[in-house]
Amino acid sequence: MKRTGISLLAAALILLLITGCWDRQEMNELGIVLAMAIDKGKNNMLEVSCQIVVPSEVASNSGKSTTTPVTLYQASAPTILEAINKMTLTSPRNSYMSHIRVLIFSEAVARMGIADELETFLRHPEIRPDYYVMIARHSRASDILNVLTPLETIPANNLFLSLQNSAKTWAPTITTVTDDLLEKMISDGVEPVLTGVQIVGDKQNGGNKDNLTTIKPVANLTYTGMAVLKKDRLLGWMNEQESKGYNYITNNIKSTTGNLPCPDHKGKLSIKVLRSQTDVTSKIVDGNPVIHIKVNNMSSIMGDACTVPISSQDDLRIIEKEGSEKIEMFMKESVKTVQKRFKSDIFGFGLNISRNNPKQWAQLRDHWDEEFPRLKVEYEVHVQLRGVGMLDDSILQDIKE
Amino acid sequence: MILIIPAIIAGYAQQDGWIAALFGIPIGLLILWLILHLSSFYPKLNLVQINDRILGKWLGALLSCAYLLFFLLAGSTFIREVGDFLTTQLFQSTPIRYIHLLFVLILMWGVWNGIESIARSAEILLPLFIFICIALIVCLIPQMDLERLKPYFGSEGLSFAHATMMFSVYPFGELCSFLMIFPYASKPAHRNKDVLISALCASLLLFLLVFISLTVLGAYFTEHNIYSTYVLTQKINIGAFLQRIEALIATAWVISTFFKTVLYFYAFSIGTAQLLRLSTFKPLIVPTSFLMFGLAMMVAPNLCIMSKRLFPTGSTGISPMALYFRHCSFPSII
Amino acid sequence: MSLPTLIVLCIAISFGMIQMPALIKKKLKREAFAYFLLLSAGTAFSIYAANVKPVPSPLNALITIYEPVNQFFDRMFRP
Repeated sequence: MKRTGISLLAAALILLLITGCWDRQEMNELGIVLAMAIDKGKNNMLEVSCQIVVPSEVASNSGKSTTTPVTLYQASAPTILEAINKMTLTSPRNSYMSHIRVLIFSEAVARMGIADELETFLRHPEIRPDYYVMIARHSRASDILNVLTPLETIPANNLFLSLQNSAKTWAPTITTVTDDLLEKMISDGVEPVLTGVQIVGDKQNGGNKDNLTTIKPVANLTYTGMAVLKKDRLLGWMNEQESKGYNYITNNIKSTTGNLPCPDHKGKLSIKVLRSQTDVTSKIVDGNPVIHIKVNNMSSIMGDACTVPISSQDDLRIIEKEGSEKIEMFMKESVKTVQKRFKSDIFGFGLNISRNNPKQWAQLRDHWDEEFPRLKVEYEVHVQLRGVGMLDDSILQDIKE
Repeated sequence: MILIIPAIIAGYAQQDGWIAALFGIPIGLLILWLILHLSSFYPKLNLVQINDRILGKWLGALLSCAYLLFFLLAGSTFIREVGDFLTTQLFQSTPIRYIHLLFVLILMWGVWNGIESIARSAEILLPLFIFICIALIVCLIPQMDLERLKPYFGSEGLSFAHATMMFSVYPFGELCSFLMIFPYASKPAHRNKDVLISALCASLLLFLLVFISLTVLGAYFTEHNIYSTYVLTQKINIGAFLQRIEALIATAWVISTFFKTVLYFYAFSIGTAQLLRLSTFKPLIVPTSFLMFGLAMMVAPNLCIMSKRLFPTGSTGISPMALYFRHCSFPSII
Repeated sequence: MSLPTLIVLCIAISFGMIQMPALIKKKLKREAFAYFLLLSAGTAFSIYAANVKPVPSPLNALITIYEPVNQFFDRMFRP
């Protein structure tokens, strides 16, 4: 009798331990946030928009779809965290932010400084740091979230994958993760850079399902040039060539395509860059820092619209030389624009000096803003053409006169 | 320890933390050798009895009290560390007392079953722990950037030395609880060598974690993230399918802290039993668990103060040792 | 007497009820005394812990004892 009593008591006490925890979150109580946009609201408040997935729409075994796969909730509050929780005024579910794919700032907010908001994102334990950050151009950030995209049911995925792919195959974009962004903001000697995103087409009807009913969507999202920041404020935008130069200098090119003029300047060659490696070294000459950039580029010719043969070694040498000059021009323009217009060391030259010549950096760091525009940069580009694709000379030779 | 050591070392040595850790390993092994050497003089006596033997009844009892107080407070601090970590990262709304309660119950059960079952379960859980740590390190190799370690030796000399001392004293000083259990362990001839080799492997693991943390996160974020190893796990992303596995590192960390705490619990119970000349220590397990549960809440009102107080408690593990060696070298000369 | 205090007291007293008579029956008077002492101290601490009231930390005591040692090390490492 006593044994039974004790075992019953023990069982009852053990029950206390297994009743589940405070922090349980049922799946159907969560609103999974996939993208967030931050705009400037009225009265100095932040307007936060969240793109939340509608699970029944994206589930594979549901039949007809009647609503859009994602929905947008907005709220205004002085800080981000308040705004996210304020969304429960309209949203039936609590926002769950572990799966954010993109974070979009509007230009107005970016010009004021984005560090305050990013700090919340870094400190919150629920948010993982693997989403991309970007700036909305020519529109409000929440409009970017209001566009349905073909191919990818969830627009946030579209933005994420598009940036990932374009950074790999078409140079003038860069994927920026919060960790890297904050690291660049904090280190002295380097400033951050963000990609810009904009809507092409009809902004008003982008969120309509009709956007997807025509072969060419009424509105679509596209990435434009790169934004130059200083610490955490937006200064301005770089165009495509300057962005390419930036990516060459910072060794972010995985593969890209370009064109070069033919040796007889009558057509264009399409070049695909297969690999590119950049080494940036800094040395001190006469007490002044000099940066030396060396690019090793391996490309191949993928399109030949020349009537002149290109299959001999000498021809290839000429084309390689032209390629080197073109890359050098990209980089030079990029450095010149940033030095003259923005005066913000986005290339990390200061960081390079601090790592390799710490003693000189200790003298330079306080007035690096004045030193950077005067910085001398030397370029050394080696382009190697690995192949010419599947044909040897152009068939155009026999087609055109 | 594996969770917070990169933050501590990077706080003093910034990007040279890995060099400080490397220098700290031999110094730490020296400390461990000191502990082993002391125990080899008195092979059948544990710490309290050694104190008694060397320093006499009253002074020995005083020093034993100091040690027991250290074991009690350090054990409570570890419980608090586990609670703080789990409530910060994984369970934000759970009150911390319930995590302490669960942990203390397991500790009680472990000590009730005796040191042999603790050792056997450690043997079982060790491969899991090692696998998780090695997997963490290997999965992060693609994200390493050795440029973050430059400029080499760029930190100030004195804070670098401070970091070395921290790395050698803090993890190895905590091994003084082994003095309480050496008499009960079997004594093959190569026991000292085995202990030193396993300590070497463990400290190499810590060094690798500091290294990975500095190369992946950089000196600034390693220093300012309280739980840097957890943030490292958040960054693992292999082929877009092996990601978001932070719960694994939380498991590994709770396992390792559990074994550390159970040894301190055991050391305190045995030590108090010896000090008060009791015949068994089994009756003291339940009161000690009450004590530890209460102290776990009392050691610090919140996390910031606790991390500031952690260092003094850690270094107390070593300071009596230094006093100690002087005393035991007298008998060895005689 | 708030609910957490009551629960802790109940658990402590039940443990005491189970183990103390057994110890006294086996004539282990020292053990019983030590048990009682430690249990009361532990209950006091646990009552505080269950209620989460601010109380000066015992770690303060340890720190004041070892403060000279820490100061010594600090001064060694400061230029």
